[in-house]
Amino acid sequence: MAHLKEIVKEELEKNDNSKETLSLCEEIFDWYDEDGPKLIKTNIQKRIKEIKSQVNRDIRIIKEKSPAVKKKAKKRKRKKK
Amino acid sequence: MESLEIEGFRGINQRLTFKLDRPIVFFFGKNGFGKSSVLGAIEWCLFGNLAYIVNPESRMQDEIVNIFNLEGKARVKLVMVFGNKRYEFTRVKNIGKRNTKFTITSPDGEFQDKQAENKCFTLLNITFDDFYRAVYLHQESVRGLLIDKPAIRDETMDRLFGLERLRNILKAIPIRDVRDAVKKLQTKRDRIGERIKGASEKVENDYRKNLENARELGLKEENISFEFGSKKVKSIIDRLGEIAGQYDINLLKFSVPTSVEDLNKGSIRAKKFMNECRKTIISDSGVGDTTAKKIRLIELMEKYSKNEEGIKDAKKRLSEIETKYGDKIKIEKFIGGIKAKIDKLEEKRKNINVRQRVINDAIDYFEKITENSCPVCGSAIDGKKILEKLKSQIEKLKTKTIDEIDKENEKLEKQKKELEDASSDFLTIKGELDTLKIKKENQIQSISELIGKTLEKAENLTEIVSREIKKLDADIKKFEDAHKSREEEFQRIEGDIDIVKAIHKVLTKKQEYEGIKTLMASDVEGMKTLRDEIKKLNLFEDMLTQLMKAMTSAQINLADEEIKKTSPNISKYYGILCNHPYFRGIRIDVQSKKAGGKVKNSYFIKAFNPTERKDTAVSARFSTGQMNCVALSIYMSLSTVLSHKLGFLILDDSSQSLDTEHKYSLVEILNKVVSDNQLLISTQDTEFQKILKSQLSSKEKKCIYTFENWDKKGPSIKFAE
Repeated sequence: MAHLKEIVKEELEKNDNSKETLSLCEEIFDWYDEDGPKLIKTNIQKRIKEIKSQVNRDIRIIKEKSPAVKKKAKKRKRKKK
Repeated sequence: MESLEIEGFRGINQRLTFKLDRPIVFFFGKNGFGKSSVLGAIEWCLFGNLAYIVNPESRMQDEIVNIFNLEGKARVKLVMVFGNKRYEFTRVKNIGKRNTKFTITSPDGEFQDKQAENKCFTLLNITFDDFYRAVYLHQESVRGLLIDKPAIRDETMDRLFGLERLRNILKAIPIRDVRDAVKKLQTKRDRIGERIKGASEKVENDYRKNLENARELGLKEENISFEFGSKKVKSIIDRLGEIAGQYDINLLKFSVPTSVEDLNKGSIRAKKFMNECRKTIISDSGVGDTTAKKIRLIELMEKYSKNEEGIKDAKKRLSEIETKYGDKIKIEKFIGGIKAKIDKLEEKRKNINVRQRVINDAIDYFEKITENSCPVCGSAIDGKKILEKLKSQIEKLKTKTIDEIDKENEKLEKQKKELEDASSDFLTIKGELDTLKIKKENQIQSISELIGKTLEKAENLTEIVSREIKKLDADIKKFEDAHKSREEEFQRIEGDIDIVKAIHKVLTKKQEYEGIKTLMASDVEGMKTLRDEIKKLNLFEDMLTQLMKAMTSAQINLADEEIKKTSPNISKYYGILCNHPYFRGIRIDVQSKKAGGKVKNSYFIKAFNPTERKDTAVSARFSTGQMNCVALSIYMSLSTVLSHKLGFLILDDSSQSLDTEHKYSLVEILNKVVSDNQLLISTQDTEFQKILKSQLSSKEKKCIYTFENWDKKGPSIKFAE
């Protein structure tokens, strides 16, 4: 398993990937070793959730500060008799 | 493996213990005696799953538990040695419960359930899928390599090449979720940006509109300020105070504006107070009553005049009748006289009618009867002559006397009618006149009450009323003059109120506009933070994409390498095992294939003739036995590539569809594999059993478990070395 990680890291370095990408590669392989593919999915989704929560918090703050804009009333299509 | 203990599992009821500490362990016996149960116990103990239960009874998987076990419990304990460390894997399942209890006892301590699962994975470095495809070679999985769906075949090959981890990792990375999250957040960010922009544009438009309105009211730019508005409010209050004082009205309490909002409040209060002043002043002045009185007087006078005309007209008509016919008494008298005459004429006519009837009867008689004697006295008469005479007499009667009577009668009737009409008209006009006189009296009374004077003579009425109306007009004019100047002042005040309102609107919108500009500045900061957060996710997505790309590239490169590395062995084993008369060699081709948004390896197993350079897909042209040989060659040569730590292979009925020659060839291959792996081989094939016993060699003694029988207690097993 270790050698697979090294092969993938070599591939990443070949394509000039950043240190963060290499570090993520390590993390993902470690998660797999710890608890298989499930943990990879869980941890990635956790990370998405964290960022989403932060973004939603930022949006909420901005919305609170900014004035509401009245939405245009939707025109209802009337059925032709 | 060191040992295996099974109780209550599948076909095994009472506890059985197997020593597995040999390089080769055989399980021989007929079908249905529990051999696969023993091998399945290893699979289930390590992973809690069995790969090939065809028709599970329920979600509880109670078919795992032996139906005759009194405790209703399945229990398997597997002891394995890794290096010098001894590990006991124990799994227990009760009937009716879906979950199992899994324990690992090790030198590092005891692990249970979830922790034990984690420990197991760390120790073995293999998942359940990997196990049943590359360690425990079921016949189904062997053949599945060649004829299963391409996706499953590709997965199997990846596992055999030791690439199953990369495949598992690639499969596990939820790249789509990341991309969807990025998209959604970008959309949210864009929307919020639009919202802020929209809000600020609206406020700016409103501010400019209000400014325009204020200019139209004559306000200069420098006067659109709180101070100016405040001064205006004070001036309004002062002027309203003056008016209130003039008319003795209580002035509302006004406070000096201290904020922009107070300007609006002040102007609203001022407007309200002004309207109340108007109502109060008008109602207290009595001008309403005066005007109403005047209108009523005029109405009454009009009615009175009309009435007077009516009286005049009635009198005139009465006078005309009297002049023509006399008064009522005379008219009645005349009518009486005419009636008497008519009666006399009527009498006369009656008499003539009787005579006429007699003559007519006589005419009839004499026309019908030709006798010449009188019907009355019997004397002789000339009937014809009499008839002629009678006829001439009747003519005279008709033409002269009756006509005269009728004419006279007609004349008298006409006179009578005329007099009767005159009499009737007289009565009607008299009635009308009386009514008009009563009305007149009432009108005079009403006018008297209205003007507050008793009117004795009706001749002065018009003059008196006219004087009164003039007086009322004078009062009304006085009020109107006062009202005009007061109303002008009110309008001036209203104008100032509008100015204050306009100032308030402009200042409020300006505040809002400036607020938004500040907000936008801070929103720029806020939006920047937002963008940065989304950028983080974007970056994360990019990193994952790069990682997946690298893994895919590594996957295909490694597969290529492994194929090159193992091709000689595959070919060798194929040569030994299959020995096809035409297709002498087999090869595995690998390509990248995009499926479900991810790039995977796709494998093609082909047999070829090296001389004639023809090839074919093995699944297309090979027989079942030949396909088995191909699958076994690949499995056996690749199984040594697997990077798990189990160190054993399980073969269950691997000789299916093989003839004797091929069975020997298989054993030849197993001899090569046994040096690197412990082998657990199960078969019901007696010929294969003999070949295995005689041909499969190892440094240590083999152990043979022969399943001789099976009953409710489980299989009866004989052990031999």
